[in-house]
Amino acid sequence: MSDLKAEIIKSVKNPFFLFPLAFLIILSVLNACSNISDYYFFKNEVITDEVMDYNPGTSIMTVYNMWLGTRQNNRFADIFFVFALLFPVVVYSWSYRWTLIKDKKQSRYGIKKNFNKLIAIFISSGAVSTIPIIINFAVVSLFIPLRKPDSAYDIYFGVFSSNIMGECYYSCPLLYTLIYISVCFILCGAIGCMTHSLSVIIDNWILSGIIPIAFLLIFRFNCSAKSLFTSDISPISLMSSAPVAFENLKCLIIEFAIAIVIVCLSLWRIKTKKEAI
Amino acid sequence: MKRIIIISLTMILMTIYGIRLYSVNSKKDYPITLSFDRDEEVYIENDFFNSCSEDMDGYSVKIKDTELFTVDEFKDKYGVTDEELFSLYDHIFIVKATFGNHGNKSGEQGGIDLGEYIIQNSSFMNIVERDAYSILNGGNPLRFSLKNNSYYDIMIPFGINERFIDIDSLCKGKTKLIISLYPHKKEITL
Repeated sequence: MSDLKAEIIKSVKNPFFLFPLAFLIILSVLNACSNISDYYFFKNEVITDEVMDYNPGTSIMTVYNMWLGTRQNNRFADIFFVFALLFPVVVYSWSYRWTLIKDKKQSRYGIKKNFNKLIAIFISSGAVSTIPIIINFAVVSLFIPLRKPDSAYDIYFGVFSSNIMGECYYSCPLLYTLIYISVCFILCGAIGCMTHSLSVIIDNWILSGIIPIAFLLIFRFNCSAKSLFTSDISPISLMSSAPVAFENLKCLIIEFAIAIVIVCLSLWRIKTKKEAI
Repeated sequence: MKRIIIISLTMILMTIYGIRLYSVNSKKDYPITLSFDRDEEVYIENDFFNSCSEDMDGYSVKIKDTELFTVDEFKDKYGVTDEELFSLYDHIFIVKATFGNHGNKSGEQGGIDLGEYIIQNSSFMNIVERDAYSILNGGNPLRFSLKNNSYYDIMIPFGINERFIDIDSLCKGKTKLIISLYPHKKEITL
C-alpha cells in the first residue's frame, strides 16, 4: 500500500503532470469565461424584467448546455479536447523520460511494482483530463443556473430522445454529467496505462507516446468517417461532448479493451523476462 | 497547523461556493409549469409560445380522447394511397380536442396555432404531423380563430417512431400536450 501511495505521489508531484494540468485548467477557465459572457450577452439582450411580451427562452440557458462537456463550438473547447488526450500520454511518456534521467533503473520493475505504477498512471492520467472539466463545471455553475433541461427545447441542448441516456439527461442531468466525467476519466486513464505498457513492450519512450496517438487518430477516423480536412483534429473527438461520447460508447469500450490487452501483454512480458532471468 | 489552515480554507471556499450557487439558482425568471388533467377545460389566458401577439387569451382547450393507430391502420381508415407518406413513422397518435373561445374578440388577429403544439414525454417531444392533420381535418389550416362563444372539435395527429419512444410509455398517462410555454408552461396529461 505504501508503494502504491509513493507511486501516486511520484506521478502527481511531477512537472509533466503539473504543467499540463495547469495548461488545461487555464483553457477550461477561458472556455467557462467565454460561455458565461455568451450567457450574459443573451440575458442582457433578450431578457427584460419589465415587459413579458415574448418568451425570453430562459429555459434554454442552463449549466447543462453551457459547460465544456456540451461543447459550445468554442475555440478553447476545441483546443482543450486536443490536449486532454495528448496530456495523459505526456504524463506517462515524458515523466518516464524524467524518471529515467533521475534513475537509470526505473524501467525494470517487477509485476507488483509495475501494477502499482499502472494504478498511479491511471489515476494521474485520468485526473489531468477530468480535474479541468470539473473546474469548468464548477465555475460555470457560479454564474449560470443549474436548471433542469426541458425537452420542449431539445434542439438547444443537442440531446434527443433517441440518444443513449437521453432520458437520464432530462430526468437527472447531474447524474448524466457525472457519468460523462467518469467515462472521460476512465478513457484518459486507460490511454495513460496503454502508453506505459507500450513502453514496456517496445522499450522506447518516444514510440510509446506516438503509437497511442496515431492509433487513436486512425481509429477515430474510421469510427466517425470524418473528412481528413475537418478542423476537428482531436484524437478524442468522440469524447468531445457528452452526447457525442455516449453515442460512440461502443468505440470507447473497444478502445478501453485494447488498452487492457496491451496492459496484459506488458505484464506478461515482464513476467517472462523475470522468469528468463 | 498546516492541515487546520487547509481544512479551514476549504470550508470557507465551499461555503462561499454554496452561497453563490444558492443566489444564482434562487432567481425566478423562468416559466412556471402548470399541469392539468384530461377532460379538464384549460384556459390559455395570457400565456403563449413565442410572443403575446399570438393572442390566445379567452381560448380554452379540452382533451376528449386519444387514439393510437399503426401507420397501415391509419392509411386504411382514412383512405391514404400514397405509400411514401408517413414512412418515417410506426404509429400515428391522435389527440381529440375541443377548442373554445370565451371572450377573445381579436378575430383573425388572435387564435390558435397548432403548428406550435408539442407532445412531450420526458426526453421525447414531437410537433404536429402536418400531412396527417390535413387528412383528418379536411385541409383546414393549422392556425385558426373562433367566433366568440363557439367551440371547435379537432383531431391533432403526431407521428410516432418507436425508435424515439416506447409505445407503452406513450399510452400510459405520462405523455403531455403542451398548450403554452410562457409565462406559464401549461401541460395537459393525455
